[in-house]
Amino acid sequence: MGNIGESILKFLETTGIAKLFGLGEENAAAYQTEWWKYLIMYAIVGVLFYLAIVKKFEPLLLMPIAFGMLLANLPGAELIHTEFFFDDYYISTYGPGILVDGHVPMSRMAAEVVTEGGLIDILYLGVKLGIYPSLIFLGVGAMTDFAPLIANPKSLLMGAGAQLGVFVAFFGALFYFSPAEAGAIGIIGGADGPTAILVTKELAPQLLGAIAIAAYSYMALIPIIQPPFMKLLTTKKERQIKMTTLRPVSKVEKVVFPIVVTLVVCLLVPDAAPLIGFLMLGNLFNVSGVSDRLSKTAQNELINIVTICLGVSVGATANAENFLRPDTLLIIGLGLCAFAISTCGGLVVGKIMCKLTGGKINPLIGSAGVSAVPMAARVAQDVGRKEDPSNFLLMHAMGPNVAGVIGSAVAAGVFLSILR
Amino acid sequence: MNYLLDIDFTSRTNDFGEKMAFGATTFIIGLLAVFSVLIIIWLCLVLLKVCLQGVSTGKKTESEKAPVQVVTQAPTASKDDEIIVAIAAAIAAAESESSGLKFRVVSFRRK
Repeated sequence: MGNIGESILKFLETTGIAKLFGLGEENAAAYQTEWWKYLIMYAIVGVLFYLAIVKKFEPLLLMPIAFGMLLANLPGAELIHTEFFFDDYYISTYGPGILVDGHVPMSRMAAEVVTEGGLIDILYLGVKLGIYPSLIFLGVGAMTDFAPLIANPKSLLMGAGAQLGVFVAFFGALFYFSPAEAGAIGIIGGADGPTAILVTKELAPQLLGAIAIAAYSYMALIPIIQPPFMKLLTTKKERQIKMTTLRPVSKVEKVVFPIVVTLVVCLLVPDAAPLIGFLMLGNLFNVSGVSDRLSKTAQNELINIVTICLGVSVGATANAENFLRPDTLLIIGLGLCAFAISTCGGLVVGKIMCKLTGGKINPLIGSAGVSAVPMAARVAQDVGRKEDPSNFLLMHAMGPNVAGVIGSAVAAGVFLSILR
Repeated sequence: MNYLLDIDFTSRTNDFGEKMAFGATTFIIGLLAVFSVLIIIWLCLVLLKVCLQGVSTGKKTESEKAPVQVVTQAPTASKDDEIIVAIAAAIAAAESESSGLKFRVVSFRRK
């Protein structure tokens, strides 16, 4: 009987619940003081599930991210070892001799992950190597119609104006964070998840969980965040402006566009090449009309698979230990400011263009310059229709919207070139 | 360390003045870069449109100058008579509703 009792006790000690409350474990003390953090993390996971499943806000991304967070906060499961992706672990385990040019070589890191890591560690390699953001952009490019932008290239200015929040948030973040961290936080204002992830994994990988969750949560909350600023910065008369129908765009223009954009952006800001290059390649697959199979794969199976891997592995970086810190609250606050200021930047440029064109441009479409395709364009359409149900701004708003994707990738390239 | 200012990118404890100067510089460079790149793309798109319009105008002029061999087609009776009649009847019926007249299509007959 004694043996059975001991076995049961031993089994119970290995459970996650026992570990959570620090019962009978070697490192019990660590858990004993931290258990409340895990409960907070479960509450945050619950909120994200609520947003994704009940409210249907960006469910394709928020759900894997929330589940990744859940998996990362199960005591004893140890599905991810974030320490494998930081130099400190290698220095303490193998000594400083492992460093090459001040960093652990990527090949050494990958070898450690493959031999010692778990499933999510291996999936996270796609983030660490910058593979997922580019592949997501390939799919986004294949799904995006740039015709509204080609038909009305002036909307590029609104896409540029809507990057204001990126740089204002960067400046604000400098008061507390390091320049590299500030760059990663600022890019939340670009409202582009893959871009934020690519920049953060390069500049401040320790903040990846907080930044990715802030970026995707705010993208999901665009219909709530943007309208107050849209109403504040525009008059009723401006919101009622009806724009003329866009001209038809020829196939030649559609095919030349991705090539020209790739050349211009990548020659001027080479660090934006992994994003812009793949975005435009995906678009070329679609518009060329000769690679339907590749286009369909990029916009369906490939992007879906990568979204799962990206969401789960990024969510898994948000464990209680590194997520529940004052830094995270600051990041969430600065991210919100970045979003709001970017929206205002786009609106202000929209207003200026409205004045310059004699009222031909509805300034509401400027708010769509924050990227977040196509959510931001839909919000512009909804706000416009509330003022005048016969007003259709969606296609006009798609111009600044896709310009915002290019603009945020350029902003990311600027940060990478200066801060890396 | 970087070429802009003597500042450590990974440190949170840089001199405050240096940080602000660095922030202002990056702010200006960043916004200028974004606007410049997008304006260049805008100019490229305008140029592309002008070129394509030029090509299409050239083609039109050539086609106007070239002797056109006119192929006359013998008038053939339309096979879509019934569709035309049906559409005409539908329009007439719709108009009659607004004018208050009673109108009903009874039959279609080819003459």
